Amino acid sequence: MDNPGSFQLGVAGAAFQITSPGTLTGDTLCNIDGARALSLQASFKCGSGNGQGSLKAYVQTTLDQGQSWTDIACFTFAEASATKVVNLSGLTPQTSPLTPTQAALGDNTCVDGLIGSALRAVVVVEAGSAYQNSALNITVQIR
Amino acid sequence: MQDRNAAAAYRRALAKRGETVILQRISGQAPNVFTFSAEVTALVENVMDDRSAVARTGYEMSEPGAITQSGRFFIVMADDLAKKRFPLPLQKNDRIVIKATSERLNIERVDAGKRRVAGAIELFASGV
Repeated sequence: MDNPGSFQLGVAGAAFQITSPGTLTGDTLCNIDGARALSLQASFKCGSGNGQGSLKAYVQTTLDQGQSWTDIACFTFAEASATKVVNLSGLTPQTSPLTPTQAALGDNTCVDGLIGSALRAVVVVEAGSAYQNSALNITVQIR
Repeated sequence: MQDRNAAAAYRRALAKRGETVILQRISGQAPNVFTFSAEVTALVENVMDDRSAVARTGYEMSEPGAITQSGRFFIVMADDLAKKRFPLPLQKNDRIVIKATSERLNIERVDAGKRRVAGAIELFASGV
């Protein structure tokens, strides 16, 4: 990749603010053509909740210039601050055809071997959640 | 439309007297905050009085304006920030750290239009 380094997958130029149930679609990180590997970190800082909160952060990539998005990682959090990291390689063979998912990947699972031309994060705050003063930061080291 | 000669002139100035600064975007509410930083080179100027503001109440606008202590005037290149993937546009309350002196300043004003022909962003920051 021509421009490797550390990047943030946020929304409106900032980390995700986690409050009420819903889906937050982050900004698109473009021009990552040639990226061979991603080291993803999802860091959740929880202020307070109602005991029922849960959220899922999906990192997605596109293989058709943004026409559709495919989940490559899913991070789940409840009501405790936590940090999770994964490493994905674009050179991992995927010789059996996969059916792409969109904000539906299994909890805390990844799909290795798929790195397209752009990345984004989608955060789903589950129904019944009521977070306050909470934020989720997703950063990626691209090589 | 960016002018290559103008941009080159700014690059020469940065090469000659630029200083390393770190721009920071702070998101979230204390204590749950996240920081994203980008280290770039900037032209750093000293404080200048604000001629558009009155220095003291009760006086005319023609009086010299107020000076913000520790205020600095910066010029950074938009391309440098974009390469570091700093989330543009720069905003008020972003932070800027002058690496040589460790001064940590709060961005008060951003003007991305004035020097657009050279692809530069002008900003004014003052210390907390």
